[in-house]
Amino acid sequence: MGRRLLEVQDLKTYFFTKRGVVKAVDGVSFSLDEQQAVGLVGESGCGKSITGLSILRLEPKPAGKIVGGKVLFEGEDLLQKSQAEMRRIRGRKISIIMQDPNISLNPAYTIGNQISEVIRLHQKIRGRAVLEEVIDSLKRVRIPAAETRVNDYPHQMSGGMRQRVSGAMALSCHPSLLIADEPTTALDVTTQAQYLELLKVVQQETKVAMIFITHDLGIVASMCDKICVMYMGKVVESGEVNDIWNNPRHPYTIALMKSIPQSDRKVERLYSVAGMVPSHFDLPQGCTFHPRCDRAINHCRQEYPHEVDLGSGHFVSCWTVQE
Amino acid sequence: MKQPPLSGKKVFGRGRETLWRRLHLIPGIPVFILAVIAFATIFGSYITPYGPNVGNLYNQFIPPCWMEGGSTEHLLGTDYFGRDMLSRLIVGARISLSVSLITVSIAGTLGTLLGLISGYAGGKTDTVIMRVVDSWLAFPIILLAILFAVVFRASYSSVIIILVLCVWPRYTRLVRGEALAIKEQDYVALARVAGASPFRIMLKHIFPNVLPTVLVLVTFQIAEVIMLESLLSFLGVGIPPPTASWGSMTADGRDYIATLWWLSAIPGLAIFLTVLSTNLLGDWIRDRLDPKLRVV
Amino acid sequence: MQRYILGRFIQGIVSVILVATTVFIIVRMTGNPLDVITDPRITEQERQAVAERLGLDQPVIVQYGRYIASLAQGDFGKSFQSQRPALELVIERLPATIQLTTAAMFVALVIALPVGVYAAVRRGSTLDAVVRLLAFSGQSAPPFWTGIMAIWIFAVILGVLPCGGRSGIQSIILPAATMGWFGAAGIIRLTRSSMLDVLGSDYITMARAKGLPEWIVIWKHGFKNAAIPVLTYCVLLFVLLLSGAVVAETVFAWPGVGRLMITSVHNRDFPVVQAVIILVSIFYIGANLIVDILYAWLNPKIRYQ
Repeated sequence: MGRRLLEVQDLKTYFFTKRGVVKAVDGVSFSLDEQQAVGLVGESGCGKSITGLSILRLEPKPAGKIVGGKVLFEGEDLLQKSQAEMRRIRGRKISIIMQDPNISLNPAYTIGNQISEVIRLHQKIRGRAVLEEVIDSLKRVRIPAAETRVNDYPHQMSGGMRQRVSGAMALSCHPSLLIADEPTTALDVTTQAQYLELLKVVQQETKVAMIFITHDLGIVASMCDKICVMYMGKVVESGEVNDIWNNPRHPYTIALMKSIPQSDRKVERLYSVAGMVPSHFDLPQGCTFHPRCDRAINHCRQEYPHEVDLGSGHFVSCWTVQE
Repeated sequence: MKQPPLSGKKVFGRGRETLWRRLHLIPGIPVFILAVIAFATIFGSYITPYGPNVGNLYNQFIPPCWMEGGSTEHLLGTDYFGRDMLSRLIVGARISLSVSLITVSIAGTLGTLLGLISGYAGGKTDTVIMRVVDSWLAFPIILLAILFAVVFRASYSSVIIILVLCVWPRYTRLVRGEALAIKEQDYVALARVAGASPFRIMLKHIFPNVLPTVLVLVTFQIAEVIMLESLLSFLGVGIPPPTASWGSMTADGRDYIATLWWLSAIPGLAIFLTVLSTNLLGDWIRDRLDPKLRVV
Repeated sequence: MQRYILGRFIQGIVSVILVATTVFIIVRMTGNPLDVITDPRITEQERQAVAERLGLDQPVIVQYGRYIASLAQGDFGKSFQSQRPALELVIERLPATIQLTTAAMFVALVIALPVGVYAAVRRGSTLDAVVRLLAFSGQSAPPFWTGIMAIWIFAVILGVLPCGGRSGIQSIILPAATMGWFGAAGIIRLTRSSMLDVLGSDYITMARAKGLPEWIVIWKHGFKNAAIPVLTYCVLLFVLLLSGAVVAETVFAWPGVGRLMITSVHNRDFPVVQAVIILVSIFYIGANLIVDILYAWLNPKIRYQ
């Protein structure tokens, strides 16, 4: 592990809609060193994807707006940079793989065209060299017969292949940070496993740092060094993957763990977290999780918990957890 | 990083979006205009003392009453033959509305029926019908109108026939699309299992669900047919003279545009306002009946 | 791709034949086709000669065959008015109409496409609202009326443009603008809504995530996909432009095919009308073919069906 690469401090991204303000990301902080992988975990709607997009300043406009915080990348605050400066970072220093390759790849252009676009933009090579780079990037993600596939359109490939192409595109300019936004959610189970294997291999080969966004704790356990568990726009627990896995402290994290079906245990009913995700327009007072929490005390209804440092990088935001 | 105001108004032009919605979502203005026109159509002959085709050459080219030389005897002036413009305008309204309503009724009924059959039957029938519809729709109607005008003589009925022929495929295509979706629904399957005849299913189950979309189309079609009829009349292949159609009135006035601009301006304005109001009304109906269809 | 083009081409030929057949049928429907087909001024003897030549006493199939054959050879008959071959008359007027239609299409596309795209990009702004209002009204105003009003404003009141005829660059401005205006309204609305759909897609976000400049994102990635329904509409537009050409040529006294068509109808000059109908159909079907090919190029999925 190397130096500090990314430091997100109290990031806030809100959506201003006709029905009210949605605090999609509400004070998220975490950090990432070179070659490290951190997992952002949570249910749908918890703000993890928006966090990833916000780092690249790609929050969905016009409703979305980053309203506060700092995103320090290689020491510089990305939120203060101009659009032109951001464009030099996107695709080159920080890349993203999006969830559904059916819609994140442009159906009107060949995959070769789309990958070479990025290469020609950020690197000073032209002509034949570009094609070679494209083929290299396809090989890096283990796409067979890369030389011929370069002229294929996205709809001519399977879902798994398409997602590999997304990976190739993202890694083509050798970024230092890769944001993977639920990269396997749109794939079937077997392909998922293959893709995760691929990502692991690629990570070791290219030494890229990763932010892995997912709802699946199991994936995070195998891929990441650190985990941040998110709920309704806030990080409720974060720490090293072993710490969290063996010693989860936040009620939500514990519930998430419990809901993972275990193949070696027979249960009558699968566990699921009680209650429903509240409406974004009508957030509970105090700790946002308290209506669904089996440990809630009076204080939880009144004030959002302060963060507690449990040592070795393990942090929890819960009134029932003491040091 | 500056904190933007959280009220939402300035952040993404929300204020203006709302203004547009309010402006064109009030049915008040178009309904008012259309009511005036409908009123004129029904009661018009009692308001004006002049016959629309009665002309007195001594009275030719009197300007509208608000201009120099105009009088209150002929509120909107007279034309080349000394015929009262207001009376002719009213007749024109009657023509436009009657032609469009008749056309839309006939074409709508035929087209919807064919669409129901095509959508429900599926398979080869569907393919054949849709092929016909697609190539029909693709064709410039003006050519058909021209052909009719030169082979037969142009008349009120021939205009309606031409317009019906132009317009029926839209209904078929629309209804067929909806029918295809609806026939997959469970209640249709239930009806089939219960032994209902295809005809009964189409009429009782599919048609009522298709109706809202058809109504939206009908409203827009009325506007379109008014436009088409006036176009044909303008070109001289529509309602033949001396009957006053707004289109032919506009054509008559073209040569005098330099001096007697109102001869063309007024009937043309009538067409514009009627079509605009009908379109706005159609938009409003569409929003009320099926927000999914909003294109804008 | 070649196979696709060939298939479309054959379909086009079939369509043209269908058109000719329709003309044939409608004329025969009058019960007395001779009245329509022949110049009312000719003698009884000449009428008989024509009847024989067309084989009116023969079975319909034979008549049909002869009809198609003569059309294929370019024989559309002679104009009653001028006694010149109808085909010749039409071809003579064709350049004027093509010139006008091209200018109108140019006006419509060059103005409407970017306006539509930017109205989508700047959604919710004043520009957007104004554009939508104008486009909506533009589609409700009858083109012949706007043409006449345009003459009134620019030629009569302001005196800057001629009020008709084909005399030079100045004389094409008003007719092209009138024709283009009507089509432009529709293009603007469709481009805008199509662009809005596309701009919400993930691949647009992806394009930005690659660091591409905004104009490439909008035009290379966005527009190419948004253009597909717009292109289909442009075909429809061609139809509108056709009646627009007839109108514009009538209003502005432009010596093109449209005007020829109308005057021939008024003179009941059947051969010319027939020639116009069939030739315009060919032209139109050809344009359709080109658009279909363009469509397949823009949307690769179509080619592989």
